[in-house]
Amino acid sequence: MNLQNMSQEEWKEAFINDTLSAQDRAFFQNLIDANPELKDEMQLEEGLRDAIFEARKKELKAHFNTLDVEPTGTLFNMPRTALVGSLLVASVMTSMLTYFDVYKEYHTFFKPKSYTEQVAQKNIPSQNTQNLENVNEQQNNAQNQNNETANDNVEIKIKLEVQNNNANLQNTNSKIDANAGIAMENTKKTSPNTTNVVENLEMEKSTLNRTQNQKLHTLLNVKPRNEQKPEEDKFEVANNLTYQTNKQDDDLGIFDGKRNTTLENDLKGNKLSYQYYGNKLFLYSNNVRGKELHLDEKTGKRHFLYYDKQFFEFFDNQIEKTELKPVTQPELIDRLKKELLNR
Amino acid sequence: MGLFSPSDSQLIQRIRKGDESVLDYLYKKNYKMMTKMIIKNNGTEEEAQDIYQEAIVIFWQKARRDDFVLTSKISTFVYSVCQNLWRKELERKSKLSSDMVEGKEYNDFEKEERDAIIAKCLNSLGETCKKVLMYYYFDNYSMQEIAEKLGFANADTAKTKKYKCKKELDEYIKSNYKATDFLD
Repeated sequence: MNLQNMSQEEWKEAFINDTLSAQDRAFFQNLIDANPELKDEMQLEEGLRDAIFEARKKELKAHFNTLDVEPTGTLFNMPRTALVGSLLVASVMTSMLTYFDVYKEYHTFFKPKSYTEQVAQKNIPSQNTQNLENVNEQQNNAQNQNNETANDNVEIKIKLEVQNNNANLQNTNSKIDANAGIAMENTKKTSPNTTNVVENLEMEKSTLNRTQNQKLHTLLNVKPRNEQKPEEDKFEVANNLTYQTNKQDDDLGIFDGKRNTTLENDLKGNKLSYQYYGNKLFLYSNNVRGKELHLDEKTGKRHFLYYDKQFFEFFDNQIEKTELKPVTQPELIDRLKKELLNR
Repeated sequence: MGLFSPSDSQLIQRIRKGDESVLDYLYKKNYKMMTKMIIKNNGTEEEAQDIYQEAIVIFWQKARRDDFVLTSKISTFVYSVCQNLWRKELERKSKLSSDMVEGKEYNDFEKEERDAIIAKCLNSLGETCKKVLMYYYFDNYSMQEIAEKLGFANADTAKTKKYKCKKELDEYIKSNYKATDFLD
């Protein structure tokens, strides 16, 4: 910096920006101290700088507030008093509900799980659950019969009809016990995971041995089988590899060669979109199957995708989710075709 | 796999080129981690958001300087800025509630009043002038970058514009306020 050619304005700026050498800074500081007018001007200059900084910060912060961000969480964001208060209220409510539930002898907490639910939890292979499903089906038939007699699951009516249903229930129980026994025997023969299955059957049996009111209530509350099955959809990709989506999971899907995705909504459309996030490439489309290609240019490496007989270019500075547009330059397409054939 | 999300050095390069979309990317990417730290340390979500935004702005300003050297990951840098800012904020809060020094309070008030007057003058400038001054002083953009961002013909036009805007602001302050306005 040529100090001799600098205007006073430039001196002031350099002083505030702290770009002067120690010697020049000391020199200018002496000038400021000796000249009250210059001192006022410097104060004004600093004030101006602060005001400009504040205005720009405000502008940037206002922009940040328009961005969609992943929420930090809700439970622990609450003030502690509010959190303690909510927990207290919740515990009182639970106690009251439990009290009335015990009083009425309608325990829903011990509702036995169906075989399919238990099997799904313990990941028992589906072949071994076939017998159990038969038992379940018969159970459900019995439940449906009881449902009809108890009229629309209304608890008061259940209570009134308990006595009338005792006889039916005893018959049903004996049928279920018999079926469960057969299933146990069959399972012992066919399943290598006999222990788990037998445990399940025994749990179910012991549950059925509870009081009749509990049984009736439990049976009436068991949902139809088709509602108990976890929701799953299967999609076939072009190379016959199958992957699954779980509708209960809203996580973003990742396509990194493992064919694992959960973006059901995006899968409905055929538009191909991509996004970089957490070091991974996200692709959104139906029938995702693309080949990645690279071209080495003087300016650096260019990235492409061959998909559905078209080439698409990725830009690795693309940080927002963006729809892919096909390459249209004939020369570039020829180069990419060669590259594709060489692979 | 040959495709990656941008590395820290790529992001710094883009910041140097004035690519403000990097701010959005960093803000979204680290939001949860940074705000969680403040919330865990007795902050509210609003405070956490404000501190994090401040930290991102500080990082931007630092990274815009030619002499800035990143010695850690960007997220680590921003995290430690957040920590420092939050520590200062907690200290300020505790001072407010206990030993408030009268003299200091008076000086703060005087400065606040002066800053308010200047901010009012700044707001009276046209939007382009305001942007020129903000880009020059805050973002440390070169005259060429300012010209590109604001659609001026070239760097010289941007330089002339900046000079005129600064002069206009100085004159506005001087004509509307006496020196005593800043002292009383």
